[in-house]
Amino acid sequence: MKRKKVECRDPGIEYWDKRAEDFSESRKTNDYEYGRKVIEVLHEIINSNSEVLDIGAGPGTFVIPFAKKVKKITAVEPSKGMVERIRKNAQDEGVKNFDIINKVWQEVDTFELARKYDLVICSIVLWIFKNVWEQLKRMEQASKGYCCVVTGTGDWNDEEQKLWHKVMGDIKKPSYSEYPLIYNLLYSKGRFPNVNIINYTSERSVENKIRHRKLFFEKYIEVTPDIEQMIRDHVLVRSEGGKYKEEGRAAVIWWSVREKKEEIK
Amino acid sequence: MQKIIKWEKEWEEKTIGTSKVSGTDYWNKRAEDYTNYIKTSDYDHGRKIRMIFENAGILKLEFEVLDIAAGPGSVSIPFAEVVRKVTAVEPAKEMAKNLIKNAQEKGIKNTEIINKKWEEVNDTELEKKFDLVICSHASWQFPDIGEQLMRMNKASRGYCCIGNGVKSDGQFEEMYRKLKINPESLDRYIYLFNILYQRGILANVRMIDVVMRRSVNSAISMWELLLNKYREPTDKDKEIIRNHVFSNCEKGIYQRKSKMAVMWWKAAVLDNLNK
Repeated sequence: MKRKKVECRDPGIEYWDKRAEDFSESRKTNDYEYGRKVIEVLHEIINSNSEVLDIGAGPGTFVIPFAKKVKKITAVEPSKGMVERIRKNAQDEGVKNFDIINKVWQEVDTFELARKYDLVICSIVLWIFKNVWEQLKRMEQASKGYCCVVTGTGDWNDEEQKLWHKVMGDIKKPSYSEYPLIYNLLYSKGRFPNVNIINYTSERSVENKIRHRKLFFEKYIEVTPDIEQMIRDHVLVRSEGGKYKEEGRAAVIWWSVREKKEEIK
Repeated sequence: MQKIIKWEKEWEEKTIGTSKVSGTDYWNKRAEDYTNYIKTSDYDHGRKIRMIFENAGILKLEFEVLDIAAGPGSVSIPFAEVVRKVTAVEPAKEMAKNLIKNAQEKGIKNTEIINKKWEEVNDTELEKKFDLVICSHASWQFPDIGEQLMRMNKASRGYCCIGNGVKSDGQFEEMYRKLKINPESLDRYIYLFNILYQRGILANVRMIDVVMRRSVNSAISMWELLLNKYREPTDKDKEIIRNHVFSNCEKGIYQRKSKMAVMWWKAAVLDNLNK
């Protein structure tokens, strides 16, 4: 069979509205384990006086656990569905020291935010930006201390691969080596980026996992009833007690905005 | 599609020359000034590497540590103070002598020296023998760095660590230009980062500030020996060196601040990502 090139539709904000529920559930696993692991990495650079800007805040992945450690966290999140989740999750946890900028990051005026935050953090969303360096520079403009980018570390999850090939045949699964790209970019621009690799668990109900996978494949193909059945079978076989558990791994990249050397040509 | 850069191949091509002019003979001659640097700096970078492992909650009293290209004990001695045993691989006899002497001065008895080049050490005998395998400031000795990293991995049952300077300031570069030599054509750190990644190793990275302090004599000796790799220093060269050292020293101490990248990872975790 001839290899087709796979095309990914730009998911847009509506996609994230739909993803709010499953994403929220997965990020809340083990009392916000993912966010707490990131905090552990950054413990030397944040404290109870810190103000944090969180770009692409999602369902409150960082807002909830960070709010408990810092003075204030500001979430930039364009999706209304996600914003509702942040508010609900914050209420559940009694978290009040946060605010929300309901905009796309590209539309946020960084001059107003210039050097306002001790830490500017962004998780996973950089792949959505076409002009990554521009957006990283804008993150730096808003910071007077540090910036942090948390990125996935490429395909290492066999299960995702297996399902992909069941659904898509022998088309190669698109893999974004976002981590080395961003790291090399920062380094070549004269930054001194630190890295900590973290492992975390995310758990979703079976129905949420099926929804999650359906929404994922809709970016590439039309999800027919046959495909939906494939997804359902795949998820059910691997779930336990109505829950689907996955091990995740991410790279936490963090650097001081005050230390720079010349760009490398 | 991402362009696949052949980091290891490029490293090899650009390292063969460097490793030849900086062999064991060279380091025997450098032992005295280098020891002065390490002691005058109070084992600065070794202590800071140790601190990374302490802060990460990794370092344990019962650890056995392997230190590759140990020199006069830059890393071996700070670690020997807090772990069960340190095995130092050091081929240069003069360096090894200084290591023994420095350990004695500190009352350290838990170090052992393997007086060989790392490439010549039998790695089967060392398999999974150490909790931490460290190679600091020595990567430029290995043209086949990918293989040597894998051999480090093999010797470890816990963690591996590689430290390398980051091209960051102009003090040395300026001297290279004045002396018309080009000892470091590679920014080795970013190669190491990408080579590890392509080998399926996702390393943690910590950028640290380190300080080199040494006496005026030690600094002059360092520059003259370094230049001697390329040519016999002329009177004019010697004058350039003296001027440089005196204008960069305070109270008899020549000082250079720089950045060092410390990478560490769990030895067992391999992805075989892009192999």
